[in-house]
Order: sequence, then structure tokens, then C-alpha cells
Amino acid sequence: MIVVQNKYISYIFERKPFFYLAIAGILCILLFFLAIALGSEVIPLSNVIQSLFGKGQGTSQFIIQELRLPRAITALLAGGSLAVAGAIVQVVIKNPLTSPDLLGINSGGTVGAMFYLFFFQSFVPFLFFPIFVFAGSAMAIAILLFFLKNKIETFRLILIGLALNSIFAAITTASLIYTNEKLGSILYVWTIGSTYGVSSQSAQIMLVISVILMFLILPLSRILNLHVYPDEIVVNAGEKLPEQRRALLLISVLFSTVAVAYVGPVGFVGLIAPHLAKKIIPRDYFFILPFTFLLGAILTLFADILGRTWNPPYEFPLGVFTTMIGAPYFIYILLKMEGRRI
Amino acid sequence: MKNPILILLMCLVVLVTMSIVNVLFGHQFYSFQTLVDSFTQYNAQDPEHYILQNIRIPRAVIAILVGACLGMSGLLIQAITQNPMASPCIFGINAGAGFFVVLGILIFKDLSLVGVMIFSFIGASIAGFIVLILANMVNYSPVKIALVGIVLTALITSLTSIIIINNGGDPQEVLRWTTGSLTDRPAVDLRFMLGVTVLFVLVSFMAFQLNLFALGNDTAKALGQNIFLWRFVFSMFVILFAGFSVAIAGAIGFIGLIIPHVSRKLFGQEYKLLIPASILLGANFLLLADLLTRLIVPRTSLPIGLTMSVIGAPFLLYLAKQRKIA
Repeated sequence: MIVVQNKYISYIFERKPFFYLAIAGILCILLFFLAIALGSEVIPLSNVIQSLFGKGQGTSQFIIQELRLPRAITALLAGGSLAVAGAIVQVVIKNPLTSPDLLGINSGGTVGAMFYLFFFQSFVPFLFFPIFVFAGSAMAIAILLFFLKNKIETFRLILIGLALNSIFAAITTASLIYTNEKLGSILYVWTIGSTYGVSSQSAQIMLVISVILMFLILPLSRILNLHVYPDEIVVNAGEKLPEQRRALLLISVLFSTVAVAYVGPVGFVGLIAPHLAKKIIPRDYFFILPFTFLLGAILTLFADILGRTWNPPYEFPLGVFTTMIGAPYFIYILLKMEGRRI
Repeated sequence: MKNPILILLMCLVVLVTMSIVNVLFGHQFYSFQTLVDSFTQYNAQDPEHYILQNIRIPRAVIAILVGACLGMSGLLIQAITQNPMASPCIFGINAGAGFFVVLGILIFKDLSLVGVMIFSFIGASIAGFIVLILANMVNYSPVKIALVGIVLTALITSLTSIIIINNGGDPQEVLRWTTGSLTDRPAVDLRFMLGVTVLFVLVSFMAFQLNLFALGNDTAKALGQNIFLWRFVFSMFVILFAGFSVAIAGAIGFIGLIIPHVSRKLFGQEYKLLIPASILLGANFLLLADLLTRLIVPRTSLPIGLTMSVIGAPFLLYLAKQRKIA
């Protein structure tokens, strides 16, 4: 136990969460360096570290600064943000089987992105692109809440999510068909989730937004801890349930927007990372949230490395591999849930 | 509307009318006289005859066959799993068939229609049996089976992407198999039509066993039904019908989900009526959807799978309102 006590605050921390966070952090950093080093041309780790501190030279410096580093950063942040978005949604909806992708929130964001590309691209700068993604995701969750009418049942939740997903996927596919072949192909890869061709500017914007969002959600972890309990208890504890629910969902949508806008609607990260995190660190969301972030980041970094090194020169979108890892794990969770209420 | 036979006959009349309307209308309208002429005095030089005989009619035939097969497989899969959410699309059977067709085309460059069908059947069987085994493991809980199916579909789609990219293909090709379409499909000849009809007749003779499934597992067992055997038999039929449709038109969603519900609304629980009803309604539905797609979005060949998703999504919301399912 670690005790922090002074005039203003008094906290008791367990030691274990710090230990797990440290392990996940080290793993994440390791994969981050690997993601920069590995690729069609392998760069020795010493060179990687040198050029990260601005002492690199020649082509490897260019490859790292302009190509690999933005990709590694966006992969890391996309996985992390989607995982946190999933963790928040799972608490608020009170269902461990939901995630931004199963509920149709990410595919709503994809439709928003298509809207931008077809109607607004000519006169709205790319900087505002995430706003369209956010609008699409927010629309999806608004429709979801409208049909749920505050009574959250697993069966209806999944059906409505499926309905949203299928209609949004139809719109996206239709848009892909109507673009020219080359753009359609690039866009299709993005709809699976890929770091292909991200700029260093995108990486910087993502970094700033995710850090701000993390600072926004961490102080709210106390509320998240409370929302785990049934609605009546939350209300009896004096919390404003509907308002908090809406605020938390808004933050969750912001998190997923960051990922969807720059890397695409990566599947299953928002589902399995929080699940795994809660298994390892129970109870306190002050630790669960950063841990989930790291687990999601590890997953997408790994998928990105795999996608680039599996069979070069072909490049696989990282979403393909997160699905390959996430889907079996999800089925495993389902099978183990025997006897519960769904 | 007391007499169900009368309703069935009406469905048949509608089907004939719909087929003719589907053939005549489109980007360009042809008169009924031209259609009759193209049969009685076919003139290969006449572009109208050519289009009717070689594009419009084969397309309508495919729509009828695929619609009927998907409606039928949906009815069977809902009967044996006793799950109102079951359908070959949601269970990932369509995706499995699509994956193996892509695999087959990559291995053998020029795959004939029969070859495509064989691969499609293999894929449908593998995906179908995985879903049924998992369904058994979760005690046929509707929500869990549906989730397993959704996740399996995502998994198979990813696998399809991987093999396509691995062979240097355009990743977008996946869309050709994950969204069904009636455009540029190989014409179906008489053998297939005959084969499908024989299968339909075969299933009709087993309607009694399907009625037993509807009574619930315990009652069916008490009445002497070998549940395991019949589940297996009907799964085979589901796979044949779904595999056939995917091989011809790709994975068209939602028909297998919607048609059984509509049939049950019209005809109750008697499978002797539900079987022909699903066949006729399925064919009607796909013909109508195809016609609408061509009339609303002319000139471009919008895949019919997309129209089906747009029609199907509100249906899912309707299902979500039916509380008793959960």
C-alpha cells in the first residue's frame, strides 16, 4: 500500500496496479521502437534512438522522421484512444459486450468522413476533417440512445448496433464504389484501419487531442467507478445519472473520433482491451483507464508492425490483424459467460 | 383472407407479374409485345431482343433463384436454432462461402461456375458448422448466437482481405464478395434451376420435422424426434441453399432474416405452408428490390446488397421492439 496524505488529499493506492502499468508501459515503448525500426528497410535500434534525439543522418533520418515515426505515433494513439473509448462505453452502457465498433459509433464516424470527402473537401481544409467524423459518430450514438429510450437491454442494444452498422456500411460501400478506382482503394484500406500515408502533422494533432482528453477523463474516474453499480445506487449516491451518462458518452465519442479520423475504424480494440484490463486491474478506473490505453496501443502497434512486415512489399491494414486477434478472444469471452443474464 | 392456399396462389400470380415487370422496366422500357416476340421469333440482330434474352431475363432468373434460396435457408436456420435473429448472413455462412470462393479463384485462375459453387459449398459448410457448434455451446441463446455470427463475419472478412492483399490484389475486391450484386453474373442454366427445384420439393416432404422443432426441444424429443439428426439434415440444406446463392450473386444480406418473419405473419406456424411461402416471397422480394435499385439509381449498377442493407436496417429496429424475443 502507498499512502498519500496531507492537508488536502488522502489517498491509499495499491502497489499492484503500478506494477502492471509499468510492465505495459515498457512493452508499449519496446513495440514503439520496433515499429520504427522494422519495415521494408530494417534500421538498427541504435540509429533509431539517435535520430529520435535529432542526431540521425542521411536516408534513415528521413525515413524515421517522415514515414515511420508518424505511423508509429498514430498507431499507438489510435489503439489507445479506441480502447479508452470502449472502456467508457462499457461502463456507461453497463455491458461488457459493447464497444464503439459493435454499436455502430465508428461506422457512423466513417459516414461523416465520406460526407466530408464528397461534399466539403473542396472548400473546407483537412484540419476540420475530424469535426465531420465526430458529427457522424455523435449522430450514431444519438440514434442509439433514441431507440434505447434509457432502458438498456443487451438484445436490443446489439440489434440496434447491427442495424446502424449495416446502414452505415451500405452508405460507405456505395461511396467507395462511386469514387475512382485509386481513391476508392485508398479509402477502402482506411475503412479497415491503416496508418498508411499519415502525415507528421496528423500525428501531432492526434497527440495533442489525446493528451487533453486523457487529462479530462482521469479526474472523472471516480464517477466511472460509481457507474459500475446499478442505476438506482448511482442515483441514491446523489449523482446526476442522465447528465453524467451523456457527458461520459461524449468524451468516449471524442476518444474514438481521434482514432477514426486519422487511422480509421479499427475493429475490436475498443472491445477486448478494456475487457482484458479490467481482468488484470479490478475496480479502480483511475488505473484501468491508462492501463486500457496501453493495452490498446500495444495491440495496434503489434498489428501495424505485422501488417508492414508480413509479406513485403504488400501492406496489410492494421485493422485486419486487430480483428484476427480480437474476434477469437471475443468468442472466448462469450463462451465463458455461461449462466449470466444474457 | 382465411384460405392460406389462396394467399399462396396470389403470391404466385404476383411472382409471375413481378418477373415480367422486372424484365420490361429498367434503364430502358420494352413493351410486352417485344418480350413475347423475343421468344416466338427471336432475331439476333435486334438489339432489343438481344438485351431481353441475354441480360434482362437471365438477371431476373438469378434474382428469383437467389431470393427463393435465401428465403428458404433463412426459414430453415430459424427453425432449427429456434432463433428469430438467425439468417445465413448474420451467422457468417455467406461470408464463409465468399471467403472460399475468393480462395478458389486465387488457386485456380479460371474457375468454372460449378467450381465456384463447390468452393462456395465448402465455405458455407465450414462457417455453418462452426456457428452451429458454437451455438450449441451457448445453449442456443439468441443474443449470443447473433454475436458469434457477427464476430465470425468480421473475422472471415479480415481473412478474405489478407489473402487478397497477399496475392497482390486490390483490397477493394473484397467488396465484390461481401456485398452481393446481380450485375455481371454468370447466367444460370436449366440444370441449376432443376436442381434447386428438386431440393425445394425434398424439403417440403420434411415439413413435419420442422413443425416438431417449433414445439421446443423437450416436446420434440418426447414425440420421438431425433433432434440431432434432423438438425444436421436441415443444416445441410441451409448450406446448399446459401452456398448456391453466394456462388451466383455474392452475399446478399437480410432476405434470409426478413422473409421467414413475413411468412410467419401471413401463414402462422405450419411449415407445409411456410416452405412454399418463403420460396415465393423470397423470389418476389429480391425481384422487387432489384427493380427498385435499377429505377431509383439508374445507369450505375448499384449492388443489390446495399439496397438490402438499407431495407434490412429498419427491420432490425422492428425486431428490437419485439420484447419477447429476448
